[in-house]
Amino acid sequence: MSRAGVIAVVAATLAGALVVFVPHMRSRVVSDGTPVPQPLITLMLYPVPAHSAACMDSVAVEPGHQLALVDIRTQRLAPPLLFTVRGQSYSQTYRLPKGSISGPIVFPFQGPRRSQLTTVCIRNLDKGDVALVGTNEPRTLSRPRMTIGGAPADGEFSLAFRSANGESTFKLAGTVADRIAAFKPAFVQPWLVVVLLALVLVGSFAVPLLALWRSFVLDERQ
Amino acid sequence: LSAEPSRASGARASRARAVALHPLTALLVFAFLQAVAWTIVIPAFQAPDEDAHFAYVQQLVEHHRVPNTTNPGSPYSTDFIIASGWGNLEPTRGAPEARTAWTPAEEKAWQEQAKTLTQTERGNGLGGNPAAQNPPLYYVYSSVAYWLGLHTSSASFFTRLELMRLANVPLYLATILFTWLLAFEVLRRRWCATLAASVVALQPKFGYVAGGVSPDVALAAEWSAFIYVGVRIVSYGATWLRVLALAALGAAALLTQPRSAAVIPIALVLIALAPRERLRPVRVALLLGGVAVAAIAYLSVVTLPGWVKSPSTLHPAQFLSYLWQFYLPRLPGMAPMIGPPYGAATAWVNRFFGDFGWLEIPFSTSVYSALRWGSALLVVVLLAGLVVYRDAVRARWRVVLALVATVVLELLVLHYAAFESLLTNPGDPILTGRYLFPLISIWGLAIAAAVSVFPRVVRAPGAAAVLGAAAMLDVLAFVIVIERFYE
Repeated sequence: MSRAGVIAVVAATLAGALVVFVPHMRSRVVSDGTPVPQPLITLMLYPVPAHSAACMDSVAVEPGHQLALVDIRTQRLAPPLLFTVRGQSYSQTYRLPKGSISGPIVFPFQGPRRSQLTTVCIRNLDKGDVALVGTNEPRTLSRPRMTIGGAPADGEFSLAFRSANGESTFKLAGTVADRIAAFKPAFVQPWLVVVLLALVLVGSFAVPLLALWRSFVLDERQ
Repeated sequence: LSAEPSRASGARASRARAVALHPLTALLVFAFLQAVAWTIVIPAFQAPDEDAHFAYVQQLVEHHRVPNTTNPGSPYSTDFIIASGWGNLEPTRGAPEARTAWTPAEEKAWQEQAKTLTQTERGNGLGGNPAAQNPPLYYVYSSVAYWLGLHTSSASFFTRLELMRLANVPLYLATILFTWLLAFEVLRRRWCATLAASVVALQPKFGYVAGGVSPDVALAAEWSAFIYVGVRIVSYGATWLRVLALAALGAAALLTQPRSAAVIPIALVLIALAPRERLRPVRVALLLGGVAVAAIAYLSVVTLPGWVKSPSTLHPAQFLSYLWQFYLPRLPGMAPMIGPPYGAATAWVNRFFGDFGWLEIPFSTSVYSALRWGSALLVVVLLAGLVVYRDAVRARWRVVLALVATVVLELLVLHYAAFESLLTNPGDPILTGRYLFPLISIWGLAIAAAVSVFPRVVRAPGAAAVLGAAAMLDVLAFVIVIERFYE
């Protein structure tokens, strides 16, 4: 291949890579877990009676400043709501004042020092009506069990955690490697994940192109 | 005398150096690393039907029985359900905002519960399994990894799953190897072979599917080898060894997936296209007898899929209309296509290259648009190549016809199966991109052939540009999959 050809191909590949990958390098808000996802088809509403709470146990919470996302439905303006997350020697509460409308609401909280299994509750602090959006589909039901006013209830309210602030790709790399290595064999360590992905990133471009170049050389020799 | 051993060792060293510097070696090393990366990046059961395939293998090893599709109850064992519960695996399937579990607290809780499980609780998923309609060859292969993990190191649930995924890596590498061999056999240039094998290695959906427990990668390997042997038969004649290899590979494909039914007519076409001097009547008779015996043996042990019907139930006009509208716009006067509006662009482009996970992780529409234009350009260039290089094509017409017949027959079988299924369940179009993986070596070959159609001065930069684009697509696939599951 001529030198001009090589330069043109490398330049085009770099330009294409910039266009394709730059949007993925921006700082962004990321998930800190989805204890119960939204239903896929059938939305369920779980009314929370006045002065009582809907709770879910076995909710894993990670360290860091986060937002808990819950979807509510209300006829008028929602009553004040108290969000609590309690684990072993760990507790956080956040009071959302009266006046929320139907739709997603967020409760900011600080995660524990180490990940732990907690109980998350949302308490209706007044007499107004409010219902939590959730799921009763077998496909989206998760591990946590829900109680309303202390009594077991069928289904679960949808709950997700998001990081409170945007995070850069480089800061995220370690977190992502830790997450990939979870629920894997012992030999899958975060460093191995980083090394493998770095090799794939470089190798995807370098190896086939070098192999192609070498093939042309071998063909010309013959 | 003393010079002899040193000359021999020098020759060995020279051969080893040649192998190490061979373009295919570098490609296979990269493909190995990439396949391992996919097995690690994909969370458990987030590859198509992986839960059912795992449950099949677990039944084979733990209960020494092939599951069926109709037993009442769950096909998943207690071992499976506990791991799935703590890993949040089931709710994450196909739900883009859901995430699998990753906290140390959940992992520790699962480990503590898993320690209490007994052998019975690993084998009690006795209910009907949708994967049970598949013949057992791939599952027997995969069960070796499961069994080894369990009996050599009491491997945990997720370790057994990872070992089964790693067992796919040799099949993935075999597909790339046979693509290289096929392209070299047909186009007789190393750069063409390297280009063909590289685009297969960089095909993101193939890597993704190979990273999960799935018979699709076994099918790709078997078909790639089958097609390579078939082309050797068509080029050099039907020797006993080649015919045996073809029959064994065809049988393996049939014992892996009923979708491989096309290997029978394809094998017959390949043998029929072999140079005449090799085709003696006795051999043909023996061969046809062998095919008949194999077909009878196969039909006696494998339950026929629902789409195999008697000829009296065929709907040829409706089938042709469906086939036309799958690829081309509906003509005036033509009845609407059976089933949902679903055609080649979605099935054979979007889902061949992308739509990862349980189809919930797409590339952007601009990427799909580029892939559709690229695929159309590939067809146009190949057709132009047939005209421009008609003399060369005429000289090797048997090989060209064999490859075209392979593609057409496989597509016909896939479409016929999908059409029959649509007659009873019009909501599910059945066909999806990974069903083309048996033809992936021909796809790689087609790309190399298309680049070789261009004038000499453009070939090298053209091939490099194709590889640059393929590498971008491959890396982008890793990026969007990681973003979906871990961010």
